[in-house]
Amino acid sequence: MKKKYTVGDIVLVTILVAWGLLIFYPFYNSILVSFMSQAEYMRKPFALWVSKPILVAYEEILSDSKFFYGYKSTLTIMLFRLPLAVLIECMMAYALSRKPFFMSKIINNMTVFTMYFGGGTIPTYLMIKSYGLMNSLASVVVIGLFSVYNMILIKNFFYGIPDSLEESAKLDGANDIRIFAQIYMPLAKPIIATISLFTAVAVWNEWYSAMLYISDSDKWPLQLVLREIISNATSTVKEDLSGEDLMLKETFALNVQMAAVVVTMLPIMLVYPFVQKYFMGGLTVGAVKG
Amino acid sequence: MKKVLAGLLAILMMSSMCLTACKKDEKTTSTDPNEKLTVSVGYTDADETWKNDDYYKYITDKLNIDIEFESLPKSSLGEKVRIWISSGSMPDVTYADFSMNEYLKYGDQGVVKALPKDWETKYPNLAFSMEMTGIMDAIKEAGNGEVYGLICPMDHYKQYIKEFRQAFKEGKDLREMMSQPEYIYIDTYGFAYRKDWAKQLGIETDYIMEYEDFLDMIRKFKEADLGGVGATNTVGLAIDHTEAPNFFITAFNSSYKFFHKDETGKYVCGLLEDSTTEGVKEYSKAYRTGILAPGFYAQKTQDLNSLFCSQRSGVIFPKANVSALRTLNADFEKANPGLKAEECIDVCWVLSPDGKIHGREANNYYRGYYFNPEISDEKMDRLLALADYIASEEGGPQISLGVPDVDYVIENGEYKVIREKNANGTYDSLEKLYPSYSFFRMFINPNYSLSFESDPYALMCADTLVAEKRKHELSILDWDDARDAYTADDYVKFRAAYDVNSMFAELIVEEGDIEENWAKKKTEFEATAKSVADNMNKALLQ
Repeated sequence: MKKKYTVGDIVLVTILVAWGLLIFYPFYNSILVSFMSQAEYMRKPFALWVSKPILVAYEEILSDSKFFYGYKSTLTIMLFRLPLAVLIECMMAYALSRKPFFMSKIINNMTVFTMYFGGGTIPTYLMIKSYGLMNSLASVVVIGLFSVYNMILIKNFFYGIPDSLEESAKLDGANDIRIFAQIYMPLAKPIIATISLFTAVAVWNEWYSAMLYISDSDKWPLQLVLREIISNATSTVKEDLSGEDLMLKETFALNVQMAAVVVTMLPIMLVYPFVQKYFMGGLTVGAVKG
Repeated sequence: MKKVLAGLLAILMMSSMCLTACKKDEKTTSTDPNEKLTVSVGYTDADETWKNDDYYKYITDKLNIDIEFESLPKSSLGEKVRIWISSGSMPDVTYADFSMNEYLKYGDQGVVKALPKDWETKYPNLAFSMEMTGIMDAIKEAGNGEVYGLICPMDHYKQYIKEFRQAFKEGKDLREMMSQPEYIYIDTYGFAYRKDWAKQLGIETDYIMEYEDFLDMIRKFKEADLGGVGATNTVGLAIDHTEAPNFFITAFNSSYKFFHKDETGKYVCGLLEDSTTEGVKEYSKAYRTGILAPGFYAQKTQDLNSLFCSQRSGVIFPKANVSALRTLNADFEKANPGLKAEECIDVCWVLSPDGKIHGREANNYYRGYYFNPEISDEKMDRLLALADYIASEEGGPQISLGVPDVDYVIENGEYKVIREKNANGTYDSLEKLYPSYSFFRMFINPNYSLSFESDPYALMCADTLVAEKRKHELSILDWDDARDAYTADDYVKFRAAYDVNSMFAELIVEEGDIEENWAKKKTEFEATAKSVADNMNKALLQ
């Protein structure tokens, strides 16, 4: 039987399509502008296509050796921080989700306390300095090794695993480490995937800690390098270059900014569809069923 | 349980004390003047490759110094410098944006090292360069004679640098000299307009135009739509809300957004003056009569060039300095192939209704360098010697021309550039050839005269406009060193609390009688502003 569409359906679809376009177009426009010359942008800033696409903004970004150093640094941070952070958060969550032990409540409260009150930028800076981690990627790895929010999500997931599994494992002679590694961790794959995604996105967007702790620009992560490229593009066009240099330059600040946005988003966009279900799942972890 | 908790906290405290005690004292000293000293320098986007270029080798060999660059991200410069200084982790010397508040705070807290007592006699070129900032008296007074860093001059007096240097040698007061009519620096406010359109429409133009004639030209441009963009797309004046008050309100009161001394010599708040109300009314009129675009308050500076270059607007407020005009000219020619900026664009400023040129005297400083409190005297001496050389009559020009015998030679006392031109027939900038150039060239350098400008038309327009302004009677808001160094809480809070430009933009788009709306708005801050002015009078005039 053919479904009849009501006026309400049509209005709803129209609103949703318009809403979708409102969200999609700025993103699409960013891609277009990254391929536009300044002359074309000036004529049609809100175009639907690029009549003469140019790649100079991408050439400018990709020809900067710091860009590749940035990727290298980001991937190095990812390589260490992602598994370590997930492991540490899972271990803490496992311990706190089990039967109460000596001072477990105090430890739990003290952990949650740090969600609301941080140590402050300068004390944290001095701490990293006193550990001898200044100007090292290790500083950026260490500073993000533990997220209370992620730990609470994992803990709530662990609460959902029946205690009987742990009890029967203990009867079979397994100790806590074995129970954690061979029973809880395999069962926690969905939450581990979610937390991994959260951590990966955080590492991908990381610039602030690197800005604070790393003085060697060859060690800056990708986001900090891109901030600098954008900042330089803006100030170069406006202040530093002589007129002749400026005329020869096909790029303009917005063009470089948009190319930077595309370059930054691309890897995450390619990975995201494959982990989206975990991301959505992670958001409902610990939710009470109706 | 309480005992356990107390014990835990005690352990934490002990641990943190131990970590603090582990701090190493890295202060090093050297007494051998021939030893090449290594100093660490924090500078924007610097990296180790800077040490590989010939220019770096030339300068550092000459000054017997080696530099370890530490990179400051340009995008987060202020934050990084503040953390470096506050945590005691800064390099031997770091570049920073200069603000009087921060300068005084760092000095009071002792987190930066003051210059040696005899710095002015030992480094006279550096002293001259710093004197060109125009704020050294205020700096010395605020620091009880101590100077807590280096402050870089801008190039506002570039045409007169020789006269100023001579005057300095004769012990004259440069600050006083800067206020003389023949030297006074007038702000670079100016309009760029389509002179080809004006010609087509038979409008007479000049560098200095009458107020009503200027507004009339904007109206005619808008109505004529000579860019052929369609009547609904034309825009009168391309200006944003941060600059519009600098024209419409400044035309009536140069001091509208400042606490300043009135004719009785007492501090008053410019916002409360009647002349400001006149300016607000004019601003509102411009909006309501279409001189300003309906959505001008949402426009960004970047959009303004687009409005002008896409021929939607025939007049733009770009700040008529060389850099802004150079960009505008380049943007215009790129967006309009076949049109030449020189044939289409000219600049002007407007005589206010009182027959005077209104504006403000601009500060001649913008950034500085702070020294680590732990830096050894020897290292500091070597850095100050570097600054002194760069500020000298010999070093300044040479440092701006590159490596001797490679980039330039001196023939019969004249500098001659010998570096090769690129495939486009132009010189590559020295920053491209030698990355370290950007640090050395800008390190306290008042020798502006040899700067290379490849858009002579932009330079000519900017210089001519300032010269033409100077021919008229000026109504200029003077520098006020005492006010600039005034940091009372209520004053700082008041200035921080009111975003004056946004306040005016909101006011003029509001419906109803503008005078009533403005009077109502003023009641919100009148009492506070008067109280701040009273406190300033007590603190600064008694």
